[in-house]
Amino acid sequence: MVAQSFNLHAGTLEKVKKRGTLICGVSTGIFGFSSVDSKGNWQGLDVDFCRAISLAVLGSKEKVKFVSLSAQQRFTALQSGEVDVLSRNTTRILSRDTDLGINFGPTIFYDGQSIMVKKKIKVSKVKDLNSATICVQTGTTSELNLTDYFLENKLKFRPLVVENNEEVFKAFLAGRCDAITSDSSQLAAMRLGAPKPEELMILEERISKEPLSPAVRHGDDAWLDIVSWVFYVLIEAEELGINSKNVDSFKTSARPRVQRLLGISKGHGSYLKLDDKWAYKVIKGVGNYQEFFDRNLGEKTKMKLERGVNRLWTDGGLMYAMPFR
Amino acid sequence: MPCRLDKHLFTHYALPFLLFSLFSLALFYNLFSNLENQGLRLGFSFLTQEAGFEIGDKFFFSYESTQSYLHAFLIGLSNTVMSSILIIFFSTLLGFILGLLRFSSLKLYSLFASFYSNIFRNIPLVIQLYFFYHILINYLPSARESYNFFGLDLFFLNNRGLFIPRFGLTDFSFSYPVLEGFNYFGGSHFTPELIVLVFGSSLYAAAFISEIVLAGLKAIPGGQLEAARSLGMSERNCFSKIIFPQSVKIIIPPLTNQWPSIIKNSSLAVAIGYPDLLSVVNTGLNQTGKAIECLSLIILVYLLLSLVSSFFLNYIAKKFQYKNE
Amino acid sequence: MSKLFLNFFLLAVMIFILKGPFEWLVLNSVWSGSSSDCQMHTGACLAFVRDKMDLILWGTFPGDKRILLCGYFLSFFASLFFFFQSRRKIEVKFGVLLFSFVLESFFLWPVSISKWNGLLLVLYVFKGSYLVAFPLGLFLAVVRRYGKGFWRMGSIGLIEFVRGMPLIGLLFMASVMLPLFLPVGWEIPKIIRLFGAYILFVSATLAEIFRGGLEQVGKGQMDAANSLGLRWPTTLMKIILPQAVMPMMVPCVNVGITLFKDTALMGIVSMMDLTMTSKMALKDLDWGGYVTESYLFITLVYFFFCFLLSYLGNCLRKRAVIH
Repeated sequence: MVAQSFNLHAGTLEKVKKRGTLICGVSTGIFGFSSVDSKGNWQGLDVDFCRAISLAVLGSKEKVKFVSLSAQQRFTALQSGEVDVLSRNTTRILSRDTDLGINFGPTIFYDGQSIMVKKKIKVSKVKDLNSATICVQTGTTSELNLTDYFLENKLKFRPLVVENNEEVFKAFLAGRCDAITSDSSQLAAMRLGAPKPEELMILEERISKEPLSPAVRHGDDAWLDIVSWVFYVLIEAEELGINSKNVDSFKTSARPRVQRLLGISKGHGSYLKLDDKWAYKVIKGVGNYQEFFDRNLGEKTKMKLERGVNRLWTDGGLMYAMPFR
Repeated sequence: MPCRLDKHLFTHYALPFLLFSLFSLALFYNLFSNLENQGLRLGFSFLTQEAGFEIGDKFFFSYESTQSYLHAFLIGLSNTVMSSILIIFFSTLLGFILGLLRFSSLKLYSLFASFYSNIFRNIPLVIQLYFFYHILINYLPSARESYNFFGLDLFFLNNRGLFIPRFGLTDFSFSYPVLEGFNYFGGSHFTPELIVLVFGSSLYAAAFISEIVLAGLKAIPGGQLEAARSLGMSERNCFSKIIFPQSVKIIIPPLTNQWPSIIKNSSLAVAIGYPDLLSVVNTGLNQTGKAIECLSLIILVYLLLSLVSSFFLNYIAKKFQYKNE
Repeated sequence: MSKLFLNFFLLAVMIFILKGPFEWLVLNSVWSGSSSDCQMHTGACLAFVRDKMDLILWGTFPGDKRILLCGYFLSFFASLFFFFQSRRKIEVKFGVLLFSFVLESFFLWPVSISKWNGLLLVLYVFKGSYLVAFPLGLFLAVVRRYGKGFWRMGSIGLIEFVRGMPLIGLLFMASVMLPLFLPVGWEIPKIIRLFGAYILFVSATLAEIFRGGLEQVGKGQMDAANSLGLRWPTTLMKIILPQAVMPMMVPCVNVGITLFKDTALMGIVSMMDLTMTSKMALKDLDWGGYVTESYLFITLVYFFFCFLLSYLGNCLRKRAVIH
C-alpha cells in the first residue's frame, strides 16, 4: 500500500487521456442542469459542459461517464479522485475555495436564492413569512443564506432540514412547511415537477448571490486551465456569432480572432496540451453558450428562464471571455 | 521458562503490534499524503466557529444559529438522547403489552399479537419510517385547521407536530401554544419527525421485545402455576404474584440488551430529517467539508455511549443473575 | 362471558382501524389503466405500481439483458433452498453458496455494476456480505476465545468498535471518509466500500454469537483432543467448531434477516436500492406521486424475503430440535 502511494501526481489530463473517458460529477437530478430523461440519457447545462470538456480533451462528446452525487458527497468525491470535474450547481464561496482542497473554474451560471410558496397562503414578500416553517436542503449554501437573511430582517422561522432534494420538495408539497428555499433556477425546475405548478409561486426577492461554477482538485493547474478555457470558448464563440450549425462556414474567415479560436492559425492548442482544433470540436459538438442556454433553460424549454445577468457582457450581462491569444 | 516467555513475547505481542503499527502507519501516511495533495488541513478549530444553521428540534438547551458548531453538535446529542429515552419507554411498554397478549389464553388476542410481531419484525425500520412520515405529513391537517383536542385550546395536532402546554418545574411558569402567523408558538412542541421516529421505532422494537417477554413468561415451569392453584390462589393472583415476578427477572437482561440497538437505530433519524447527533454532524460535515474530523467525533461519541451502556448492562445482568439462583 | 366480550371488542377495534385501508386498497383501488383512471377513484392506484414495477425492481438494468436475471434468480433461490433444506455438512453448504455467488456474478457480468439496481443490488449485497462475514466472524470469535496477547485484544477491539457504531455511521464512513485513507491515486468503487462496511458490521455481530457457541464447548473437549495427540488446527476444525457453530445456526439466520433489512439503508448514501428506484419511479410527471402505493410495494418485497428467510430459519430450528 505504501509502495503504491509513490505512484502519484499524474495530472488529471493524463489520467483522463489514458482512461479514455471523462468522469464528471453531476447532481442526482435537477431539471435543466443535470437530469436523466425517460430514455436514460443525461441532459442539462452542467451535463453539456462536461460534454464540452470531453470534446476538447478526448474529441468525442460520448466519452463521458456521469456520476450522480448528493450535495453531501460532491466535495469528497472530487477530493478523493472519484470524479475528474464537479459540474453540479455548486456555489463558489470563500471557505469552499480555500478549505476544501478544490479550485473553482469560471462561473457558468449566475443564480440567486429565492423562496417558493403556495399561492393559497397569500404571501408576496419574504417579510410576510415571519414565523413560517421553511424547508431547505442540507449541505447547501441556501441553508446558511436563509438563516442570515432572516436574522438580518429580525424574522423568526422554523427550519426543516432534509438531506435529499426530492424529500425536501415532498415535505413542502405536503404542507409540512410553508415555504421552500433554494437557487431560483432549481425552484423553477422543482415547480415544473409539481402535480399542479400553477398553484406554486416563486417570490421575486433574491436573498443571495449564487455563482454556480465547476470545480476541480486543488493543485492541478493544467486541468483547471482546460476547464476554464473550455468555458471561455463557449462565450467567445457566442460573441463572434459562431454556433454549431455555422461553424464550418467560419473556417475560411479572415478574422484573426476567429482563426485563433478555430485553430486555423497554428499553435493555440499546445498551450493547453491539446490539439489545435479543440475549440472547433467543442463548438461543432455542443455549440456556444447561447445554444447551451436555449437547449436547457431558455424559452423553448419547460424552464422558460430569462438570460438575465447571464447575457454576454456586450448585452449588459456578466458573461465575459478572456481573450484568445 | 524465560525462554518460552520470549517466544510468546514475539508471537503474541511483538508480531501483532508490528503488524498493527505498520497498518496504521500506512493508513496515516496515506491520509496525510492525500491531505497534502489536496491542500487540506486537519484540525478541530472549526468547532468554535459560528455554525450558521438553525436546528428545528431543541430539548434541554437553547441554541441559535450564531452559536458554535460544538454547541450545535451538543444539541444533536441531546436530541439523540431524548429520542432514545422516549423510544425505550414506549417500546418497553408496548412490548410488554404485546408479550402478555401473546401469552394470554384468549386465542384471538394472542393471534393478533403474534401477527403484529411477525409483520413489524420483517419490514426494514427505515422503510417503516419513510412510510409513517409520508402518512403523517400528508394526512394530518395544516396548522390553521389543527385538531384541537377536547376543544380546550391547549392541545393541538397538525402536520407541523404536536403542541402541548408546558409547565416550568423550576419557576412554576405555564405556557400554552398559540397560533401566530403560520405556526403555533409557546408550550412544548414535538415535530412530526420526532413523533415518527419515536412512534415507528417503538412499534418496531416492541415486536422484538414482545418475543423476549413471551419467552420469559413461558420459561416459568408449569408446576409453579399448579402449586399456586392448589393453594387456592385466584387466576389473577397466580399471574401477578407468582408468574410475572419470576419472569421479569428472566426478561430484564435480554430486554436491556435491546437498548444499545435502540440507541443505534435512532440514528435513522437522518432519513426523515430529525436533527439527531448523526444528522447534525452530517450537516456540519456538509458545510465545512471536514469529513475526517466530523466522523471521528461520531465514532468517539458512539463508542462512549456504547461503553457506558455496556457497563450499565453488565451491572443489571449481574444483579439479576444473582437473584435468580 | 367476559371472554366473548373481549373478543368482540378486539374485532370491533380491528374493523374500525382496518376499514379505511381496506376500502382504499381493495374496494376502491384501480388495478389497470392510466393516471386519469386513478384520479377518478379514491382508492389506491395499483396501476401505477403495475406500470412502474420493472423500474422499481430493476432500476436502470437494461431491458434487453433481462434474460440474465432469470439465471441469477434461478441460482439465487436454488442455493438458498439448498442451504436451508439439505442435510449436508455446513462446509458443503457454504461451498455451494460461494459457488452460486460466483456464478451469479458471472451471469450479471455483461452489465455494468452501476446498473445493478433495485432488488438486484439488495440481493447481491446481502448474499455477498453475508458470505464473507460468516467466516470472518468465526475467525474473530476464535481469536477472541483462544488467541493470546495482542491478538485477542485486537479482536476484542475491532468487534466492540464495530458493534458500538450505528450501521448508518459505518456507511457514511465508507462513503465519505475511507477514500482519504487509501493510497493516493487509488479509487475503490463506492459499492465495494459499502460492501466492506456491511461485512464488518455483520462479522462483528456474528462473532458475538459464535463466542456464545464457543463458550458452550466444555474445556474437557480441548483436553481430550490434546490427550489424543490431535494437533491444534485439527482440534479446532473437527472438535470445537462443529460443536460451537451448529447450535448457533438459528441466531445466525436471524443476523441474516437483520442484514437483509439493513440493505435498505443503502439509499441514504445514494445507492440505487429499492427505496431509491421507487423514488425514481415517482419522478414520472405523467403519473404524479403515488408515494403510498410505491412504499407499500417495496414493503411487500422486503416482507416477502424476510418472511421467507425467517420461515426457512424456523424449519432449521425445528429440525435441530428433533435431532
